[in-house]
Amino acid sequence: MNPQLLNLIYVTIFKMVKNKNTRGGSRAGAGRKLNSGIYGERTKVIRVPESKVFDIKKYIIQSQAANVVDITKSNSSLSYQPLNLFEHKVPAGFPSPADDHVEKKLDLNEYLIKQKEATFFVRIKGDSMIDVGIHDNDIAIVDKSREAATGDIVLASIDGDFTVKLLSSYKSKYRLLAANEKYKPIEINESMQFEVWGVVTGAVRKFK
Amino acid sequence: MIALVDINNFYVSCERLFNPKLLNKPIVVLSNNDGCIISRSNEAKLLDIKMGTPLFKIKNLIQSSSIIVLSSNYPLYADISNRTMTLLASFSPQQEIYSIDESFLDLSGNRELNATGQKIKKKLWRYLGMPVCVGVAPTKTLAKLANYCAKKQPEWSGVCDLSELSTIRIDNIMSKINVSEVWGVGNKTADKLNSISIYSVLDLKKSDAIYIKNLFSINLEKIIYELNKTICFPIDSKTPRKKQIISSRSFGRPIQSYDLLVEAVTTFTSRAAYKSRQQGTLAEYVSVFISSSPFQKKYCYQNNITLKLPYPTNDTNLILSIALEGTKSIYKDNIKYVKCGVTLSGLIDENRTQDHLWPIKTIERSRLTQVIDTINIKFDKQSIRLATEPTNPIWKMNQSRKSKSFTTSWKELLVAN
Repeated sequence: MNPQLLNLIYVTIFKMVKNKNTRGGSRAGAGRKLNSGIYGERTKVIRVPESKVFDIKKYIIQSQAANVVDITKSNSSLSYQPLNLFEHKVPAGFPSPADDHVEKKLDLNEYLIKQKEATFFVRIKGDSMIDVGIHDNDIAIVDKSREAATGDIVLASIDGDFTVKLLSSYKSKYRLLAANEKYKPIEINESMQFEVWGVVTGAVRKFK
Repeated sequence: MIALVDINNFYVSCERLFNPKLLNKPIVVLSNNDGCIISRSNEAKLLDIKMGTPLFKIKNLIQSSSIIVLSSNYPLYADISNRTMTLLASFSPQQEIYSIDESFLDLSGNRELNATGQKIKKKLWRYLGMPVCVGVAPTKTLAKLANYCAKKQPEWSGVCDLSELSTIRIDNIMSKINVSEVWGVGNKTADKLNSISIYSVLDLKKSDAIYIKNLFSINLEKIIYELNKTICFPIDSKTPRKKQIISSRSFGRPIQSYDLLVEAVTTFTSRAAYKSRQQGTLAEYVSVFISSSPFQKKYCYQNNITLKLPYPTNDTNLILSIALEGTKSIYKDNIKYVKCGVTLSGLIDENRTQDHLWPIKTIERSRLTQVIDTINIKFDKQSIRLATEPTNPIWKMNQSRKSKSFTTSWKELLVAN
């Protein structure tokens, strides 16, 4: 190659590097207008799992069609209804606006259930347990995995029938006690088919 | 090492969990429509009741031995199955759910296999009242065999770990088990194997794999390798998408009219399309089959038709319009139909389809079905349905002896006083 030409190329490159380029590059006001994209706002590049791309796109398309968004969004577990807990200190003066961010979602399942695979719901009939606060038509929460101890409220079966009572023992025999003086204790003897099915860990009631 | 955990007499065990009166009694559970026996308690097995026996054939025995007969309660079984599988998952990072009551677990690196097996057994009993047997071995085929031993031979107390045993002892065990008990060997194959003097599991294990491959199939060759501790069927923790979806039922009573058949086809089509949407697939073909009772051989009429859908879809309306065309073409007058069904096949991933050059209103359609699906999940099944889909059809299944949906319906919870 012609050495002069080569030199010229070198010099040109050198100048380009040395001098802050005043040509080319971005120009103010050029390009697509801000927020003029299909989403009407700034967009951002993110990495997402490939398997979710379609769902995410679908979600975006649907959330633009505002009239259907709410119902299509909620296909998660229906028994789960989180409530927002706001940690909000209110000193004598005015509240700090920075304080009212969402801390945690509250889930009643989490509060009531420890071992969800072993937990079953049982409908209570009758008033035999009213003194411990379990009323007719309440739903008892029964954890089958728990080892029952005396003093526990248990779901037990006696000769094939289920009952919820307090487990106690008397003279090395089990007894089931009602929490209502109207009912007598049930003494368990060998002739009965008796099994403690699970431990009642809570009860729920609805008023409306 | 691979473990196979299998719940004993699963359906009967589920029924017993919520009804202690069923303990220590002969119990059988019937298939859909109260047809055949599909689960038996040990007490019923002792009365020599075979799996799959039609109910009417043992009517007398049921009376004379006071056997308790129950309809199947699939919502209950599915819930208990899910709970069981979740509990099992805590024992291994790799789990393959093989059926509603069986699961393979990868126990590689576990040094206390027998103890783990006992722990599994104890936990499922404590947590869910499910009796299980555990078989442990280096391959799936052997784990299946170990599970068979754990179930049939009481000396294992429910957990059989073949990896602990010497080859001589394993061979000794295998020599006493019929080859038809091997996983993947059906009765027909077993008969053929018998004809070339392979009778026991040991005979199959010692046979020449290449020879067997040429005579039978590559699958049987792999089974021989697996019996010799070489893994050919690795644990598959991904549940494969179904290649076809079938929705069919026998009717509670025979139907003759075309309109009633349309009701049934509509119901099955919307179920099948819903299943396809749930697993994220589109169907290319829809088939309809109708059948009169096969027990009346002379007048038996069975027919089916497969039609190509205009484009791959899981839209109930579109599939239904094609399915009904098919029904019309195979329907014959004056036949007492007892069964019909709808099959979707050629299923493809809904994300990998080719778009249309002239887009039909598929997006809007799919949004509509999505909203309907969501409403039906949130409220009741069939809250929104096609007008030809009845809520309480006259042809619905006989389930006269069904227990309650104790774990899946607020209205049917267990009651205690």
